[in-house]
Amino acid sequence: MTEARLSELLIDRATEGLDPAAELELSELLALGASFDPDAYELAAAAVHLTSAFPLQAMPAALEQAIRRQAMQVFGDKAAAPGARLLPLTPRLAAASRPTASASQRGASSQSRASRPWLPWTLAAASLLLAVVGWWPEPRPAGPDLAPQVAAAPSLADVLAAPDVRVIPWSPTADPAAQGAGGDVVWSTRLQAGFMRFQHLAPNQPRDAQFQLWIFDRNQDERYPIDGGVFDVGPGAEVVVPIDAKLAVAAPTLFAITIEKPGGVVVSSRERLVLVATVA
Amino acid sequence: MVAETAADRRWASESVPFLGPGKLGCPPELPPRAPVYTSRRPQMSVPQPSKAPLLPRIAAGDGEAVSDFIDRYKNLVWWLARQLASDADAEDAVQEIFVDLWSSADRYDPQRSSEPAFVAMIARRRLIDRRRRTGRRPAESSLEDLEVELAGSGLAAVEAAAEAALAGDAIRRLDEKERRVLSLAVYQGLSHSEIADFTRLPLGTVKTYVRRGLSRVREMLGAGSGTAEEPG
Repeated sequence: MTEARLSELLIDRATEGLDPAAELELSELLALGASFDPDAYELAAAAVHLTSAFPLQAMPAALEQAIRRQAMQVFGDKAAAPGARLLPLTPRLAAASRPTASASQRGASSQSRASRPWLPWTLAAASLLLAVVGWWPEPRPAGPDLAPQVAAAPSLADVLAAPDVRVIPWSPTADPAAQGAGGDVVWSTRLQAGFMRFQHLAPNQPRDAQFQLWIFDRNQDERYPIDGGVFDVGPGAEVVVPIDAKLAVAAPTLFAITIEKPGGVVVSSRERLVLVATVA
Repeated sequence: MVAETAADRRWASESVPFLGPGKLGCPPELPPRAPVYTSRRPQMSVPQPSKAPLLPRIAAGDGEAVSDFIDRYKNLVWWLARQLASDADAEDAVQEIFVDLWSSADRYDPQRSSEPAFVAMIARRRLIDRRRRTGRRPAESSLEDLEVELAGSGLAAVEAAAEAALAGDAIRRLDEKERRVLSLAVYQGLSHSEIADFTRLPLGTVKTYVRRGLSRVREMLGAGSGTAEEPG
């Protein structure tokens, strides 16, 4: 029965995708250790897709350049096309040396992304002052499981009522925009929804820069945290912003706010880290 | 309830072979028939395309392989994005897909799949996820409007021949309705409820067809542990 249900969920994921409740169920079933290749059906769907043998449309040149620039951010200037003259988004990234990785090392070895050493997220969070007192209403005691009844966009009240709700205070960094800033983040993995509350965060000029949320997940490579959405902060003592996670968040470990160019980025240089909230 | 169109009526009445995006009613030119594996698990690893895979080099930190990888797969990823994402989203989706590919490089196993199939899997995963979150999908077009040829001149005929040929074999053996439903689910990226609306089949039947069709493709590919029961 379990394996039949597992098959159903994997096939649904391979074709139409899964809602958060089904994703959670799938994670739980896979965690039971079934002898199952979790990618088998997605590979099958990919194979079906590849049977449609027709001429491929060329990727637009501007998009290709953007992909290459992005690759340079990740891999350094060796990722540049031979003979290409590419201007990286952040010149210092291109100049950063990258250690040679041995074949036994999985993934890219740690790399310097700027001319100064990169401070691990968790170390930065641990060294900061915690001076935030939350005023969220106390989460209601766990009651009936509301998840199946909640609409696609849970409200703040829905999130606070979720049995797995987490309320995590922000810790400001030394970035000027974070001076005196605080607040907290509420998140429910079951609902795949959350909100951020900011106090005294310096307002941004949207045409110059925007804030972007990154969600670090235990199951995700920490080099590529989940994009939690781009947002603006106006003048005022307090702002509440809904979280717009681009991927399912299974086991969040840390929420982080950076300042990015308007529209946000796919991969952050992390040069302007403003607030972090570590999930205990 | 979907208003009935000429395409709907043709859909319901004609015996139409399995088609990817292409001209309705045109006989497909399928890839060459591949050897059929008689055991659930093939005796050897999936035959690789003529070009050596690049992901293992990328996973090992070879930045020079990255440029070659972009050259090799940029058009495949773009094609998939144009199929499963709206015009407004396709470019953003492509950038996210390549980030996924960089972070997934160390998960590629040449024993399980060819590199093009793995790339297509990662791309489809991201595109399906985006579609669920944004609710935006490609501009709908009737089957009659799809003018793409089915000749073997694209990627599948050259590079991903192994899985594509095996999948083609499995698809040919499906019931006509199962082929149609699977085509809508994979190529058009329709949700199961959308397929039910379009084909006027019960949702449960659509789910059964999708699951059965994909299970048979999976069996043909010989992937996984082989211990799962075929659903429905």
